[in-house]
Amino acid sequence: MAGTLEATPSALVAAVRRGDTSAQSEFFVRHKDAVARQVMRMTGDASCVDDLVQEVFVAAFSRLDAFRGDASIETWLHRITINKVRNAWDSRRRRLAREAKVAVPEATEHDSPDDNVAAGEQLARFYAVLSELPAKYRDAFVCRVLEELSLEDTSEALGVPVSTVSYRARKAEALLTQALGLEGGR
Amino acid sequence: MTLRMQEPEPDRDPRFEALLQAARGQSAPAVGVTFADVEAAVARRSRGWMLGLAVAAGFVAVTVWGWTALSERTSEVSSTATPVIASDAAAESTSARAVPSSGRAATPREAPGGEAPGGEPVVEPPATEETSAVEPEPDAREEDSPDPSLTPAPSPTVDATPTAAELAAQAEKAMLAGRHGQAVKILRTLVRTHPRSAAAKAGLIDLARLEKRLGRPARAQCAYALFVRRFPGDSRVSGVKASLAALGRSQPRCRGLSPRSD
Repeated sequence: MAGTLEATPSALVAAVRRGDTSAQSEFFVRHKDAVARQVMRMTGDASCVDDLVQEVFVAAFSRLDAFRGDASIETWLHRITINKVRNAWDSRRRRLAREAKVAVPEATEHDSPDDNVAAGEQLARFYAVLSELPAKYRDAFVCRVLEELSLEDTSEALGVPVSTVSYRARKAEALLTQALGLEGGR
Repeated sequence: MTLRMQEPEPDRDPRFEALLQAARGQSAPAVGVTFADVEAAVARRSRGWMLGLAVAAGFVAVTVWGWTALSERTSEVSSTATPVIASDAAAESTSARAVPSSGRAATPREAPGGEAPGGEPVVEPPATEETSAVEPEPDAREEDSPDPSLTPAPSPTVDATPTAAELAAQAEKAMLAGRHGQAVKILRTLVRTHPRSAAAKAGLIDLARLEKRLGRPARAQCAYALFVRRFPGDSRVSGVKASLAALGRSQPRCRGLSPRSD
């Protein structure tokens, strides 16, 4: 595709759908950092960013025919990322079950957030607890609270009614604050 | 006019709000994946689909052929036998002869091992022929290199090694099916080709445990030691060190994932 650097988003997507390799490369360059930031916000784990970014773009390029253009390409990529992160969480849960016999995560050693632990460790603890939540609550919380998607967008991304999204996100927040010992702010 | 549903602003504990802000404001590391990596993975995946379709088409063809052959034989027998019961019996015995090895092969078979009930990983089956099979020796490049697992993978081409996630998924599948020897091979590839990936980090622990189960404690020690060396800040290090110590006080000298004596 000539002049992909200047191509408008819709022209770029059209070229990507035609299988134009240089357009695909440009598409990757334009969106990879946003996907990486989303993965980081959702998982809090820098070490899994590369793996998931690759998975997201492999899925996107393989399924670009399914992109109808109803939503923006960013929203579409966002949904793919959500799905890939969900898969990674499921896989992590199975892995933790295997590892349980080997290693006890140090996160359990922290008694409460008042222990003057470093902010990074608190965040690690937050993500550790988040990953242990039931998937339906965790997904709603991540989309709605961490990613700050609207109720409608979250509903569409997760395929559940808005009322369910709202309930699950609040339930997740209650479970999180309880597990982190941060109740009482309400 | 579009109505957008609004929720009341939640009244959060300030400490929880601070955690949320910190989570939202995290900066992502520089993306190390290149478009070439993605392109190679897409090409590999579509080849996999094509292969799958070809296998499925072959399977259907063989099944149809088997059924056709069977019904032809059955109708031949039916036309020569008068009593219904005798005809059925003849058809049955004929079909027993008529179902050829190809027909049998066309019957779907369960994958060996299968998934454990509840989807739980099968991690400790008794050693089978496959699991106890000796893994081929590392290739010459691995032997010559001072630490092959620390050697970065060659730059990807269209036929490059599968992605870390693909290898991790393959290894998990092999573990679930009890094919531990195969899982070890895949995990070693994962650790060598994607040394810093999250999948390789978790894979090192799986690898150590599998090596231990396969009766290769020295290799298990090397895998644990590599984990400690590569990921000293990981929360699992203390547990890994404990597992390493439990394998014996004497630690083998390792070259990457293999003891030097290997």
